Amino acid sequence: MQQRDKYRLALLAACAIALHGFERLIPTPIPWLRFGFANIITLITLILYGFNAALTITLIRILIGSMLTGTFLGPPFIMSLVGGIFSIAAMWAASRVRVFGPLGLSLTGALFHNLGQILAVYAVFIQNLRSVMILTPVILFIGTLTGVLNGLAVIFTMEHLKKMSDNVQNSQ
Amino acid sequence: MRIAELIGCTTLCDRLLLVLLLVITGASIVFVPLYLPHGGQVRIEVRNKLLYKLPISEDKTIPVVGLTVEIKGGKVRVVDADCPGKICVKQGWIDSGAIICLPNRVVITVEGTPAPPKGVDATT
Repeated sequence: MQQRDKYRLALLAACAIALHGFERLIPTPIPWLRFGFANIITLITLILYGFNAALTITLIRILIGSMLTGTFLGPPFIMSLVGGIFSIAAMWAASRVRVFGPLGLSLTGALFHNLGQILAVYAVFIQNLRSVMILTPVILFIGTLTGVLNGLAVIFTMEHLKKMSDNVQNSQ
Repeated sequence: MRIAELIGCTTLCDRLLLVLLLVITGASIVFVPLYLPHGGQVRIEVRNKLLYKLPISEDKTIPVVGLTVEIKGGKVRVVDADCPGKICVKQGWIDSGAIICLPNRVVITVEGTPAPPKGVDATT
């Protein structure tokens, strides 16, 4: 890996951690509802630099983010770790198929993040199929909603990056 | 960026996936409550002491003091009672609330979420 790429990854990880921290400040109707804005950074990294870089950034984000918010090794940490790994693997698999744009990848990521979290909750905390089933529609709905929001954010960002790199190339 | 450009940035599969997810979400909102195990619990108390705590989803007939209590198809009733009034028997099937037999001091309550309305069950 080149030195310049390392700097870029560090910068992207910093962005992800910042978003991870800031979204906790946004009040939501349900306490555990999160928008998963950090997934915007993960997805951009996946598109620009590939699977390894995106996985690195997700792991850095979850480790440092949980230390900053004081949930390291607690239940939220386990849930975001499992969810993060599920989502990155699913987005990578979906991106290999090459039929999805940013919106589809973001939806896939959100869906599998939630699936991973449900599995983690079921395996680690409560073996109660009933409460898991009650949550499923809510989780699917929220996952779709946040998936669309984050997907749009990725589209905007990618367009902006494209324009910026065009400008740089034109001025050279 | 205009809406048209925005839609141009999505692929056909993106849109299909979004529609599919919306359909699954809608379907799950409708169907998951139907297939939930009926969570209600039947509590049978005699003289303020809890004698039985049974899931309402399991069919069962049990004798309680002078009463015969039947649980079937997510509902409870008192089949027979040795008291003169038999108010509890006349009350019939309940899936929420309580049946109270004062002479025997028996209180049968259904707690938890009431079962959703069902169409046809296995026995009808």
